[in-house]
Amino acid sequence: MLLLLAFGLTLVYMGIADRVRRLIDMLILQGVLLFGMAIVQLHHIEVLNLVFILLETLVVKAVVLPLFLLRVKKKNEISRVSTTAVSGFSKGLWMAVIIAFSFTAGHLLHESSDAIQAKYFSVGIAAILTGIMLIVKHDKVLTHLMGYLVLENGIFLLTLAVGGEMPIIVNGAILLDIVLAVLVLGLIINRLSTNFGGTALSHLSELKD
Amino acid sequence: MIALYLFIALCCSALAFGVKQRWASVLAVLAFLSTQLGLNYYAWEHLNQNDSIYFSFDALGFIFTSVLSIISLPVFYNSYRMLEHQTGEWPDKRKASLYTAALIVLVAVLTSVYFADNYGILWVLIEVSTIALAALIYFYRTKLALEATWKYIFLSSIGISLVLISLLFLNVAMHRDSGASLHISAVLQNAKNLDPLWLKVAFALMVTGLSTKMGVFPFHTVGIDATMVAPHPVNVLMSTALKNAGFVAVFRLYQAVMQTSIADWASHVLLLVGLISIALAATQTQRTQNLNRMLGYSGLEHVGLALVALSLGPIGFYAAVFHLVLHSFAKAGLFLQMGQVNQIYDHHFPEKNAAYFHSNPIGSLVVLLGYIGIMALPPSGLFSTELMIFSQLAAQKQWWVLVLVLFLMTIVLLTLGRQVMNMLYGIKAQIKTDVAVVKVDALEIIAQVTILGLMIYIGFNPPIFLVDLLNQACVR
Repeated sequence: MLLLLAFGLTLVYMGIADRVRRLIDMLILQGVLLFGMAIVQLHHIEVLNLVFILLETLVVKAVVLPLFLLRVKKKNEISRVSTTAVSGFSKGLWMAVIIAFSFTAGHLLHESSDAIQAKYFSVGIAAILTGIMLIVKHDKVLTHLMGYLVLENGIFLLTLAVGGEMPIIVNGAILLDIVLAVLVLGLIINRLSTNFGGTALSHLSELKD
Repeated sequence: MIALYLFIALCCSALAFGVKQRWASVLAVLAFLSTQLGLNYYAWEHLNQNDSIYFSFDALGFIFTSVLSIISLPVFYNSYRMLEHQTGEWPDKRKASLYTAALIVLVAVLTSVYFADNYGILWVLIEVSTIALAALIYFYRTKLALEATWKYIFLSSIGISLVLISLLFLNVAMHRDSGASLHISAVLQNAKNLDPLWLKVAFALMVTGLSTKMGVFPFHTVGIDATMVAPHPVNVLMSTALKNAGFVAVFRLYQAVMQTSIADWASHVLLLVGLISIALAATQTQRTQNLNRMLGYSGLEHVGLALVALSLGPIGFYAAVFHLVLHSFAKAGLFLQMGQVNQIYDHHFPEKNAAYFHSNPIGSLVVLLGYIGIMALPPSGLFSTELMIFSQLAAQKQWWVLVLVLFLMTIVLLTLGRQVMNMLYGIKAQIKTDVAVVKVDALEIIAQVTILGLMIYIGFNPPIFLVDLLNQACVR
């Protein structure tokens, strides 16, 4: 429960933060928290699968990807999450709506089916929506990438919520998906910076009718 | 068998990528194509049999694999020609070898998607197709290619994440927590016991997530942007085999959903997505001058129509699958011809390509035939499938849908027709006479005409075995 609460707080902080560095710090913390939740929730599953998931959370989500994002941030000198200032009140309001919606949805769905754990489900949905909000509300592609990672963390929480044990091949593919997407998109951000002179979304509007 | 097929494909891909010589790429492609055709034959011989616990050689998979195998032959040949033309004496070995390797992987994973009998495996394969396609879209290494690649990977990743969430919910809907419940045949068998609420959410997320692959609303733009910058053989696969793969994944879940209490709801979802897609195609073709984008919007229209057909229930399934088969041939012929347009003019803007008849008379005839094909004007095979869909809409008394679809499709027909005619007989003909009459590759033309001819022939005179297969595919 404490781990979930802490995870929820990281989401709120990410939703209102202005600095990229803070978002990366929160991603590291989320990776560690997911590691803890995986130990608590998944101790009954196959050992190989469990070890794989623990490595995924602790090594990849909490260390490898944040370090890579830090490198991309430094190389491209990106410090703020958006080129234009977004009001703190507006962001806070969005986060309040997301949390209220997630907990209501989790509660309602739990009433209709006891196959899910409402708390994990609610925080998972909140993480997915926060990820989408980071993508929609900000105009820097690095922030979009971090929004995608938050969304993936939300999916991880959903797997815990439904108690589903994916086959190891699917878990492997999920990990491959995240790592490749982040690495490839990170490299593309570097190229964007070189070719377009910036990493704002406005630079990516040449392809149109 | 499919595991062996994937292993061989991986070896061929590694050979092309690792050795980085022309002979290695040619050898890898020849070996892979032999394997592809071999698998096609094997699937025919073992129809309706399982292949390990993850794959099954069913009629639907066989039909779309056969389409892909047929299209793959000219795609690889055109790729070879393009790489020679693009890189002269094959000097940029790294670029060419990466392209060949990624193309082999793409064809292999799409084939496996068609035969997948497990949603988890299907998800994994679709994920791999995104990575292979990203490498192919970025082939020209231009700013536009970079932008398209970013958009493609990012939005596809979001789409794939939605599909993953849908699988989690499908698991809940099955009232089971074992990975085995992700088997497509198990979902079909237990369809009546599925929890309607969770199934609804799973289906909606599956359709939304896979719209990046099917090229329909809401994530249709990602494929259309990529079509603008990707090499033409890649466009062939993106606008045919990839769309078919997304369709197969949605169709398999829809077949299960049709046995539940939410069948009507799901039909309405598909009808809505289909209609919005056709409407977007009608409005967006008006705005663009780029022929590749127009063909991309035409794909949006056709897959949208296939979804409308699906919404009509089992009777529309036949028309939907057949429509996509014929659309694949028509679109493949046209996009292959776009390679020659590109070779002559180096861009895809119809007005600037005026007097194409002067530069490439045979190629112009192919464009004309392709246009007639995708617009479903007789003798196009698509005419027969569209007739099936329209008569079914009339039979079910869905008059407003029928009128709306006909109206929107007429807009696409006129808009695309105007641009194609501009390109062939354009008023800038005098200005463009400086463009030399080029000698085109006879094999390329033969392949394009054969594919378009196939679309006409099987549209109006479908072989009995194909009709049987289509019927089997619809009643799984």
